[in-house]
Amino acid sequence: MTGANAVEARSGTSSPSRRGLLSVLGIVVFGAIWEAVATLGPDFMARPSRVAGALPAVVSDPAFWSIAGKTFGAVAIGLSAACIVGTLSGLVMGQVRVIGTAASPYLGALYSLPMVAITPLLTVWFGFNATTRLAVVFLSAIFPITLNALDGSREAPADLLEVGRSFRSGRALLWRDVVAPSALPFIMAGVRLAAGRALVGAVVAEFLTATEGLGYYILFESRSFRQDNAMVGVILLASIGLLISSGLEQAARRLFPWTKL
Amino acid sequence: MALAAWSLAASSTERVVLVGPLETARRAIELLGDPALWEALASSGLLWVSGLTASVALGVPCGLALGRSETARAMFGPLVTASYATPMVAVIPFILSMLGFGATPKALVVFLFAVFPIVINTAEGARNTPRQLVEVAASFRSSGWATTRDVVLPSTFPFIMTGTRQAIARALVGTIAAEFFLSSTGVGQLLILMSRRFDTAGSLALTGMLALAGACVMAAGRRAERRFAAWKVEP
Repeated sequence: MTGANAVEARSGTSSPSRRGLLSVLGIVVFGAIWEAVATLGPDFMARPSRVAGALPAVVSDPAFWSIAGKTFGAVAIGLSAACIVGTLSGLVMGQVRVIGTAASPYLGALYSLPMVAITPLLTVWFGFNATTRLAVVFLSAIFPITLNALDGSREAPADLLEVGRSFRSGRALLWRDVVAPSALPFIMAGVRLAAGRALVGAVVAEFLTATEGLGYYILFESRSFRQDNAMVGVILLASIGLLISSGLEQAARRLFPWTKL
Repeated sequence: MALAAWSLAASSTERVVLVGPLETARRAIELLGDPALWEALASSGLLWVSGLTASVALGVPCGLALGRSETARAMFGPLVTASYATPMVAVIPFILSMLGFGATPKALVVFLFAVFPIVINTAEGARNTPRQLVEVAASFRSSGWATTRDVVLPSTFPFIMTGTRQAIARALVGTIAAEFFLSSTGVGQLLILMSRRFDTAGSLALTGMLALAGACVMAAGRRAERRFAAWKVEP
C-alpha cells in the first residue's frame, strides 16, 4: 500500500481535486449505465433516480435504523467475541508448540470451510432466531483471526527473542516487547478479513432464518417489489463494510508503522 | 483428542442435535456410495469453476486498465473498492427478481463474489510495474497494447495469482450462497435438505467433505501463488 502511494505521488499529473472530480464522474457514468439497463428491465427494478427518491424516506424512518441496529449489533458482538477468543487461542497455539501442531490442520480446514454452509445445521441447533445469526457471525469471524494470531506470534524474530533472553528478560516482557509488536499487525489483518466475513454471515443467517435485521429487510422489500427501498439497505450495508475495512486499515497504518501488510 | 471430546459431547446431547464421530463416519461412507452426492459435487463444482473463470477473464483486463490508466483509476477505483467491501450476498434478492432461476444468475453471484479481489490485486500489480521497464518499452516505440501484454502483464502475474487465491475462497462462499437462495441445486441444496430432515450426521459428514475440498483448492491456490511470487518485483 505504501508503494502504491509512492507511485501516485511520483506521477503527480493529477491534483486531488481533479481526482475527486473524476471519481464523481465515474459514479455518474456507473449510475447512467444502471439507469439505462433498468429502463429495459421490468418497472419494479431498482434504478438510481428512484433509489435517490426513496433514500430520504427510508433514512428518516426510525424503524429502519432499529432494524439495521439489530444486524450491526450482532456483527459487533460476534466480531468482538471472535477477536478476544481468536487472538488468545491463536497466541497460545503459536507459543505452545504441542497445541499448535495438534490444532493447525483442523484450523486450516475450518478456515477454508465457507461458514455459510453450516448455517442450516446451526438452525437445527439454535433454531430460526437471532442466536443462529450470532453463531454464524462468530464462526465466520473467528478462524481468520485465530490463524493470523498463530502465524503472527510465530513471526516474532528469533534473533530478537534470543537477545531478549540472553539479557534475562522475563516471559511477560518478551511478550510485550517482541511477540506482541510482531503479532499485532497480523491480528489486525485477520480482523479486517473477519469483519467482511462477519457481515456476509449475518446477512446469510437473516436470509435463511428470517430474523429481523438489515439482510431480511433487503429480502422482504425486494420481494414486495420495493427494490428501491431494498437498495438503500444494500447501500448502508456497503457503507458499513467500507467504513470498517478502511477504518481498520488506517488504524493499522497509524498504530503499526513498522510493518507494511 | 478432538475426536474424544466430540464423542463425549455427542453422548451427552440428544441425537437430533449432535451425533458422534463414528456415526458421522458411517454416514460419510454411505454418502460416498450415493450417486446423488457426486451429482451435487459435480454441479457445485461446475458452478464454482464457471463463476471463477468468468471473474478471472473479466477481472484481469479490468484490473490492467485500472492500473495502467490514471484516469480510469480515478474514475472507477472508489467504486471498485466499495464493491469489494460490499457483502455480495445482499444483492442476491435483486438477481433473483431480475434473472429468476437457472444457471446464469447463480454463476453471476459467484462472479460478483470473486471478481473484485482479482480487479484490485491486478490493478495494484499493474501500477507497481517498474517504471524503467515501461520507459524502455516506450522509447523502443512499443505501442500501449504491446507494452501491456509484454511488460505489464508478466510483472503483474504474481499479483493476479494473489487475487485469484482470494477469489477461490470467496467463490466457494458465493457458490453455496447461490445454491441456498437461488434455484436450489448441488451441495447447497443437499445441506438444506439434510438440515430439514434433521440428518445431523449427514450434515456433519458433508460439511467435513466441503472443508476438505475447500482446504485442497485453497492449498492449491496458495501453492500457485508462491510459485509465481518469485517473479514479484519489489517496487
